[in-house]
Amino acid sequence: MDKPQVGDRLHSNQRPAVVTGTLTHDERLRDVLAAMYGAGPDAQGQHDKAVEDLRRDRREMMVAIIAAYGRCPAGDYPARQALVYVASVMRDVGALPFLASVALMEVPQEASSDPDSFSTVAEETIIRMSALDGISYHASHGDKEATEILLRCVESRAFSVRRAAVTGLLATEQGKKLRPRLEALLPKEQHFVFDLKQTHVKEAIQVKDPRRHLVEGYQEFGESKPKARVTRSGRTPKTKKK
Amino acid sequence: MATCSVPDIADKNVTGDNLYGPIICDQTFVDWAWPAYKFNSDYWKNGFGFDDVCNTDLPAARTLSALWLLNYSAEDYMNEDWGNSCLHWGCRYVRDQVGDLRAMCGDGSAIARTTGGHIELYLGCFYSKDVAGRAETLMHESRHQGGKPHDANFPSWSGFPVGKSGADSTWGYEGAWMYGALYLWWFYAEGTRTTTALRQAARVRAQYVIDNAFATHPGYVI
Repeated sequence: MDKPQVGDRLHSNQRPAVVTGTLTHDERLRDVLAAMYGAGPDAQGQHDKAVEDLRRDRREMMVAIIAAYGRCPAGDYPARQALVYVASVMRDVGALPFLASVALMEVPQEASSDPDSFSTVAEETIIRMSALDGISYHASHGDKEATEILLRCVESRAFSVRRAAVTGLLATEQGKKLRPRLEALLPKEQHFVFDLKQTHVKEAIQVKDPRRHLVEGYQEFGESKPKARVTRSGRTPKTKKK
Repeated sequence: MATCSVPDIADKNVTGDNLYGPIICDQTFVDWAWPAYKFNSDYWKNGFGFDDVCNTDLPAARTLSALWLLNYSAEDYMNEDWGNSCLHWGCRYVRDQVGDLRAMCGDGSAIARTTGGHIELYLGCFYSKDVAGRAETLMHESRHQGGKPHDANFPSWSGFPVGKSGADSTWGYEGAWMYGALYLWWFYAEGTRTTTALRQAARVRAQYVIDNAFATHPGYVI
């Protein structure tokens, strides 16, 4: 007799994700994304070259980015964030209107039934924070329009957007001068944002001794891990597992 | 038993699945990782990828990718010393904590749950998170497995449900949010065998957790 099914059942019902379409620069945008998220011994070089490539034909690439962003389903958070990241690292003021539109867009209401586990508000906010990174870069280089956008972001309903905007503004040349205005814009109980410190992870408080937090009676797995294999072979392993 | 379908799959370049997928497609790694992380095979059949572990459209490959990232992102990845950074020992911690790893449908958006000695991963974990985000989930859930529940309500400024339970009181509480955020933070700062873009995504996600998941803000800007 067949063993009864124990777990759930998952049906394949795959549709390709729509990140880019058929505009002239879509293919280049696809290549840029692939290069930026590519690995290998020269991942950083590949990333930087992709950024250089983006900066050629900036206007056309921005059109492709905006069009791709518009085509993304709302729930395709990784792709939306990637496109915002691409626009941010272009370091081009021509990207500011797009980045501003993303950062200033109201975060939609929570759509998850269990936001402790998965929060659409978190995913939407993270995309806006990525846009803030790009805007803050321009503000820190003296761009007035970028500074104005950050000031508007301080009034966002999303705390992380407000916090990132304040951080970005305080890092500008006018940071000190702007502080009273920022204090007036933020509720008193959030004035702790002025005391936050840019920190390297090495300076952050670490876990004191992770062994204290292991389940009682845990057993270390006996075999040490195999050496990293980083080259592509395309070999399909046999699927029998223990 | 529930039945569900693979949702729309995000661009696998941007989630890192095109990077990690070919690497985990390796019998030696699969044969080691499967028992090391106590995959309960019964829960990875019926479409979840047990018989197709190289297929990055399916949960098994997507989970193995997260485990590869956990195991090999430190430059000196064979050093899993507890006294080192969690980029080194995170993989060991998850390995020692997980008693039984299961893939399940969930409600479509749910990520994961630790219950009755096992960790359940849901569609939300496989399809709405990038590879580093899945690794963070494994760290977070493993901390719960270690007997540390959330001990506070989300603060007034949080993007999570304000006033509801599920937050950690402080960074020093060393709870599940701290474990997940700290891992992402190290991955951003010193992760190797990955991409700049994925590390940047990890940075923003870690910052979101720092900003919103603690009753007292930890005071850090990454």
